[in-house]
Amino acid sequence: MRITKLLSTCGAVAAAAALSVTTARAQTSASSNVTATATVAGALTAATVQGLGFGTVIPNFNRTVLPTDPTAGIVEFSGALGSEVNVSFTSLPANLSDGASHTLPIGSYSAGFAATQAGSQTGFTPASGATTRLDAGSGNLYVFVGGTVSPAAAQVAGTYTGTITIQAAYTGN
Amino acid sequence: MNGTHGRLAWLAVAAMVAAASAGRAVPAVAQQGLTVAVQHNLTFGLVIPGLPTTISTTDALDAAQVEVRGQSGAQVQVSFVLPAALAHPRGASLPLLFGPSDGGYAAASNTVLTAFDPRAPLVTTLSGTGLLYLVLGGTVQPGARQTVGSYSATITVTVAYLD
Repeated sequence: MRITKLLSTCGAVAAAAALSVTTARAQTSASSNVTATATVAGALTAATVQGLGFGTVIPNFNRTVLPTDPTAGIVEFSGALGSEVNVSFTSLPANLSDGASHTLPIGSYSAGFAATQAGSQTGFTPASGATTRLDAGSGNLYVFVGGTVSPAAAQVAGTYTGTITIQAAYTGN
Repeated sequence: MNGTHGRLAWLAVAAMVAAASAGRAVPAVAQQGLTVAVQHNLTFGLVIPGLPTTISTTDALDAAQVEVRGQSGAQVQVSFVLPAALAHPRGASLPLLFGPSDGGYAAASNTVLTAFDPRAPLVTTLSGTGLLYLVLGGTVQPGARQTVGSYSATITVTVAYLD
């Protein structure tokens, strides 16, 4: 009896010993490097290429200049290649002035933009503005503006001028 | 009688112990080593002065992607060394920020990510195939007069088994 019990116990001990295993870890940790990069774009610049010219107008006869006409106003914007910009007109006068209190009504503005000064334009309404991209190759954007002057029948002769302000701003896209 | 039985019992025990310790190999299981492979770096691209640029973990083209391989089902700890800025060769710094949702992990590369804060260690489990995918986004904050040009920084990711 005693031997049997002892042998059973030894068997259990032997079985427990056979189940014990060793786990070996070849490598407990690993590292690697991620590179973060960014390119900061240059500033956005604007330059007036030419003003909006109506030439000599006749009293009581409207004169219209389209954005595609040779005397349309042109502004060149330049900045980061392919960057999206919002274009807006911050100043669209209702009248031109001769500096001596005489005014010449101007209105019916129209606008367009293109990647080059001679390129095909995409039209837009100045009051609404436009969102587009600077050219991917040159970083340029040309904005054109036209309008209509309406001289009165008794319009005083002289030279009338006004200022139209066009703005472009990066959207970050 | 009892003495004879006692000696026999002693000898039986000795024999069994000897068998357990001599000539019988103790099996060992080698746990698979860990590897960490960067599959894609963190790319902010063109950033505009004055406009912060954020790369989300869901941005498959620009977010950093890291593949971890190791022992199936093993518990691991992931930690990042996150720089505070990217550096320009001429010394300018571009601030780099990380938030609570700028880390993501998944068991497979094309599955939904679980968000985590990369600023703190992540404890998770390798998949049944021993894989773990990590994704990292972030935000750069260029100043209005930020120096123009290219900036870069190194982010170190470390993965370790947890016992």
